[in-house]
Amino acid sequence: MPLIGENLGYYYQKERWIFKDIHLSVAPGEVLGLSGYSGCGKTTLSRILAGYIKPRNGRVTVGGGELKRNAFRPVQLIYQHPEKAINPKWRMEDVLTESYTPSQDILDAFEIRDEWLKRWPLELSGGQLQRFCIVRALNPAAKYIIADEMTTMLDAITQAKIWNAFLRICRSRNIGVIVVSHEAALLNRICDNLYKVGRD
Amino acid sequence: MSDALLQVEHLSIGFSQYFKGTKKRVIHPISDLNVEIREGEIVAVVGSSGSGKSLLAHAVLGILPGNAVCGGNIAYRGEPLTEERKARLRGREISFIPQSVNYLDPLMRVGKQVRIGLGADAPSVQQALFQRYGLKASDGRLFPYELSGGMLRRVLFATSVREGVRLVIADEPTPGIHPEALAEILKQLKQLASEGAGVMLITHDLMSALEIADRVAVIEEGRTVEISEAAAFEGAGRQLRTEFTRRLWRALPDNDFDLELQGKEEVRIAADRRKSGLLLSKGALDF
Repeated sequence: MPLIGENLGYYYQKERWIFKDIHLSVAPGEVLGLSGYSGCGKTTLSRILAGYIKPRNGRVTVGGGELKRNAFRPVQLIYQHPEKAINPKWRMEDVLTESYTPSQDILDAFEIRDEWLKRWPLELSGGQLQRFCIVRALNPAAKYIIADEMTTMLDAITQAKIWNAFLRICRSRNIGVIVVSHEAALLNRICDNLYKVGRD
Repeated sequence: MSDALLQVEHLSIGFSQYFKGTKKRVIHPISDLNVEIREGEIVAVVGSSGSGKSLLAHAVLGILPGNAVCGGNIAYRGEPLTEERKARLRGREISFIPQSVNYLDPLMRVGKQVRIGLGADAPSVQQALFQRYGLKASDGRLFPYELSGGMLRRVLFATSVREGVRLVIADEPTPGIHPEALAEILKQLKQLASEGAGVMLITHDLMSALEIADRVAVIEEGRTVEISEAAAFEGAGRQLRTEFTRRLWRALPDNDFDLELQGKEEVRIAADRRKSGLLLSKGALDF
């Protein structure tokens, strides 16, 4: 049951299209890289594929069916700025367990320390917060995960560790991954296929 | 030592926290940081996430939260950098490019945010800055939520470029922007340095930093573990002094990436699963 975006187009101000006619497909277990200039609509496209906004044109389907509102979203999105994706008034343990309770193995894979769970989001660094966002997205019901500049705020060692753990889990569960990044070296390392958004 | 613009010696930073209601304790994320920046020099500060790089910047600027306790010495142009002096200098002689795009005012148009502190010819200077960083004149009318992550970075950078700046502290100025804009920002930092300013470039993007930096300070768990010439980062990293720095260097996607993690687990290399069709094949990525 592939994730397919057909004929996608979007604008924020009427008739000023950010992108048009985008066709994308990701198979279970596939790793697809998205690249393009900043401001070309990569994040908007990610939000459309995850079902958070409706495209002005075209449609998104998972296994032939359109994405349902008010249900668990099979396409999970990991945002570029974790500090903006976490409720600042919740403790980290509440953030972590909102949709499911992750196993200790997963917490260990992303090196989330127990002492962080009692803290407020403001008391953790961007990289530490992002690990929570990743674990949160790895709900057992997730079929696809979109990683929008997931590790740009991390140092190289942590980046390598996180991608290693993340892709291992995705592979074992046959989750399809869309990697949004500007870093060509990273995309070439981890992706099966690449797609470039926008005009050259 | 007379040409040292900024000298940070044995800096420690602690935070007092309340727990169990009224009991107080102090945690020490930074224990011993040493950095020196000379005029016209670019020093990159790298290290793992959460190692205290941003705190270093905030300590120099005097914008740590109220519950922070600082130790050690910070000197700027040969004199101790007191809190009053920090308040007087920041935004004028010492400029700051913050890490989080949350530092922009969400309710102010970005053009206006760039015009703050520019004086009488603010509109024309702002236009010139926008043009230099590849932002359209019409983008100035937008609010931060209407811009992409990479565009916000460039707006943040534009807010920090001012006349008379002697020390630039750039906290992760480059994530999420495309290579052309990245090159422009690096060029700009280099330009500031060649005009005599000192630059502290806090970053994870070691590859980009090495293009312009003179020296690299490596921080691990709140301590400076190594300060090396940028030229030492080459090949397998044999000229690097500490194991941590070597691992940091080798973990780049351009180098070995996660090789040290492999072997433990079976890791399939993606290359044999490539498909054609609508999608670009690998290596066709030409930006």
